[in-house]
Amino acid sequence: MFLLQTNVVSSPIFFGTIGMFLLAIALIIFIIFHQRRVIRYQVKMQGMEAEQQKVLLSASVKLQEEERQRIAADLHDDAGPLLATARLYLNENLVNQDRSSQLQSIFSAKEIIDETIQLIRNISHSLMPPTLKNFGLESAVNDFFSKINGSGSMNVNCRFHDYKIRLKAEKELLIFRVIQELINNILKHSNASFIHLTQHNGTENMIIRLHHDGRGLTQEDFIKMGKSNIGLGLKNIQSRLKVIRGEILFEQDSSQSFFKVTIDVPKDENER
Amino acid sequence: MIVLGVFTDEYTIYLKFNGVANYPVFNLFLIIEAALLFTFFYNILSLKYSKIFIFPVVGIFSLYWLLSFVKHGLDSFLDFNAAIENISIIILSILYYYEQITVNFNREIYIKPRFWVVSAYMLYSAGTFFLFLFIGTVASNQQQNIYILNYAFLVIKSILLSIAMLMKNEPGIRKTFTLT
Repeated sequence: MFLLQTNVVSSPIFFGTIGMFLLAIALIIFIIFHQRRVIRYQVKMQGMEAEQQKVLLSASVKLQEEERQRIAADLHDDAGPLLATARLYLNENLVNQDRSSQLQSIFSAKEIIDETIQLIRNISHSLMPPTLKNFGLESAVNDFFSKINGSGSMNVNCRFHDYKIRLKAEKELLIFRVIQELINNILKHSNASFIHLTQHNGTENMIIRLHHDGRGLTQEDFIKMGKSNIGLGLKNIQSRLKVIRGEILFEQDSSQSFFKVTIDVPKDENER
Repeated sequence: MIVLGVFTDEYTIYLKFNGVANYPVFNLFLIIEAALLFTFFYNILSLKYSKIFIFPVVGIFSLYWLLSFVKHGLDSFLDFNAAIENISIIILSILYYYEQITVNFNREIYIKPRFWVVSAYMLYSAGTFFLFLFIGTVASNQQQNIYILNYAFLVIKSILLSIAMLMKNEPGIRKTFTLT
């Protein structure tokens, strides 16, 4: 009221002052709302990431359980009966039998035990391929591909351009498992006639690329399946690559006739 | 700073009633207030470049204040110095807000007492910027009337500072323990 009685209100200083004051208030309000929005977005992102981690973790646990069940089944269904049969050949009555029957029984038991040893070796190799352990990723992939080629149903080949310095053993195993899973998926779902794998070395990373001419996935499909409850194998690929900070990209070739899967794995200092 | 402000106001009123010029006290208050505020901003700004920005501001402001004080400090209020202080505080406040929206995503900005302190000085500085810049151009009989705006912004500043003081201090970084 006092201000109105004087001619302060009509002075330019008054307008300038009020203008600056309103601008300052507007700035503060903007800062508050903007920061709140950013925090809300961050919380949402963290929630999504936690959810994704949960899915990956459960996929990893499920895979582990399946692996254990498979080993248990192999041991129980294959090794168990073989050893039980060998035991039957070597029972107490063996001493009462004639010499030729004794030799026959021992020979049969020996054969069964050899078979059991081979079976246990196979189980062990499926857990950690010896070629991978002793000769590295290149040899293991070559070995794996030659087995597929041996079936004659598909043309599979691979080319490693520069793999002189081996990656760490755990890293190699994880990459090998990812390649196995991808090849399995292509064999099962894509109806492809060939698969071609190439490896290239960067200074700080290693690139592995798979080409095939069957039905494939795009990155969108991969992300969608990663979030859904289906596609356990893809989730395992994701969780394995997460361990080695690797990335994967599914895409269709520009000619629309091939599908490509690119795995990018960063190297550690001693792997360069 | 609040205590200093109240003391300055009371003392200048006392001087005015006794017929003594109170401009030197106001001018001294200006540099002390600026020094305290620049120190406050130096402590709350976290980015290196923001902190570095304060040094030239302090240097230029101090030099200009010293020259002005030697020349007119005893017989008039250094209103242009006050305007420079205001624009410096506005810039530093904007830097603080910028840091808060780019760096701090953990808690809402208004939960911190220092946000209210910065806002108090930002609003006061923005409100009185034109006032101090152009008060010298207004006829002396009108100056008292316009100066009422300053008191209005002082009230707003005091309210915001009170909010800051009533708020709980920000919790420090929680210590982490390692299980052995």
